[in-house]
Amino acid sequence: MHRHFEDLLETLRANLIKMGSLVDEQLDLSFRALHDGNVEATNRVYETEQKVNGFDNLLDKEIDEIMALEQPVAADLRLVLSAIKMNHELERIGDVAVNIAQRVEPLRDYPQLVHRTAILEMGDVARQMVHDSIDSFIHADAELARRICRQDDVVDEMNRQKFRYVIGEMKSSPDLIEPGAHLIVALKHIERVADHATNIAEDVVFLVDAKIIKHHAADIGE
Amino acid sequence: MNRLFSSYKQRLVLAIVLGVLLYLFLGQLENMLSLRNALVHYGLEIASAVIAVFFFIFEETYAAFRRRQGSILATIIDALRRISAGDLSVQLPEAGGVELSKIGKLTNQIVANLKDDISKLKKLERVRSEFLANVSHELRTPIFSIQGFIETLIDGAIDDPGVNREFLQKAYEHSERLNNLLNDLIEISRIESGEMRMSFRYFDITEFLRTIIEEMIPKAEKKSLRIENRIISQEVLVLGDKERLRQVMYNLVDNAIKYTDSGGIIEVGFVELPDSVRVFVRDTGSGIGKEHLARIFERFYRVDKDRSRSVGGTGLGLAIVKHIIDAHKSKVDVKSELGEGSEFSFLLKK
Repeated sequence: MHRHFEDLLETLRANLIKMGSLVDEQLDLSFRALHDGNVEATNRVYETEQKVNGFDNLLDKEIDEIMALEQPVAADLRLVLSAIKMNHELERIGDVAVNIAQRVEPLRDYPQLVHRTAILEMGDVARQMVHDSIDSFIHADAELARRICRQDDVVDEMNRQKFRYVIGEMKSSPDLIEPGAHLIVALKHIERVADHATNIAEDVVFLVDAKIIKHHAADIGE
Repeated sequence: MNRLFSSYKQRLVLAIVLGVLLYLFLGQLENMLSLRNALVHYGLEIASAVIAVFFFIFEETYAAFRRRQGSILATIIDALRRISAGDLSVQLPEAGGVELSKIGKLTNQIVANLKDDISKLKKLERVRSEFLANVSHELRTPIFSIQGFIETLIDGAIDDPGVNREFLQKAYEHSERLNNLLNDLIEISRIESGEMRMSFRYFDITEFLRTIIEEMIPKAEKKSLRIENRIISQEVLVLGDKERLRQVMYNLVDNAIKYTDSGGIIEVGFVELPDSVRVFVRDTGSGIGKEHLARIFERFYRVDKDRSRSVGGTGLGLAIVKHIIDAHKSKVDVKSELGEGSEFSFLLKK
């Protein structure tokens, strides 16, 4: 393998980690802003989104260049294919972080409802999943990636429980209908974050073990 | 054959008998073929004698070879017996036939490896017992102090407004030290058991160091020290585990504060290199003697025991720093002059 190709792959890996680092931070900022009802803190989420989008375009360009000029095979091809998917997932997580940040203002005056729903409890699990999925990519850790896939069920169950709780609150007080609706949307966003983290983890298993495990294609408990 | 004719005399008799038989056989052959030539007759006599002599020489050489191999094999068996009994001072001769010398060499190699493993295990065992002794000593010190203050309070000092608050405060400080020590111990055992996974991310080193400096200024000011910000660049992204590096920087700056006398200066910053940045913490403190430099990253190693106790470190800070920086595939560099100050620095990939 010649030097130039190695450099291209290394740059691709480094940029994926840079994008992952930004998304990880962006998610942390938006969850904390939601919990604290801090509208000002959301500005940084929007600023970071610009950078994440920049990386999305940059990675697309780099992947196009590698595919067109280098025609990678085997493990290198898997890295490039995973990079295409991871880039997409990370960009989507960035968008969801923005969506969550947009719920901060309508929920600002209802801190008690937000705290009682313990939205951060679910957010922490989802964020940890994203955090671990990026780690599993950096360390090429398929075992960790498989654990993340199993975590998704935990978030789904939390979503169902919290959804029922918010509906109950909305029924008990008409004042809470509007913030409750926003909260349900935020819960749905968090649940999506966990789904994207699972997708990244599945990509990592593909990258490391060359096995496809999405949609239970293989036994993830193996 | 060798057992039957194991002695020199037996082999000699055998060669003579063989020679005679050969001579008789050739005589018969001569008669049957009706060869009446004196030259042929003498030729056959000489051939019988030569064959008998060569047979004897071959037998003798073969016997000597067998004897030598046998003695080497006996040495090897004896050596292996001694090794299996635990005697590792055995050294086998690397001689004999090709196979035997190979066996000798390999056995010597196995013994050398065993010796290495045993000495490593012994060293580990010594480090472990030293570590345990250090831990119990370090734990006991604050516990005794806490007990001492509480006992004095129970014995009546609690009603003495001149000292009661002070003693409680001191007991609290020692309990805090105990807590720090336990936290560091948990941390180091997690790092060493490989339980701790690094979360490498790109982050802005400028903002990171500025935050550390801001957070450490109050502590430095308490000791009338000045922390100087030596950051000259704008945003520079580096790859590392931000939380672990925060711990590294706290430990390094905290050490600088502890070992620098009032009025001193601590500098924190980084130098940008083509592919990396060198993060540094400099102080104008007491410095570290050359003989200690190689050992300061060992757990519980103290340059000056009394001073360390008075400043209240856990003795694990630099060991933790080293582990974290090692996990970043980097190395902590130390430059120090006694009485002049120290500089701790490490590289981070851009």
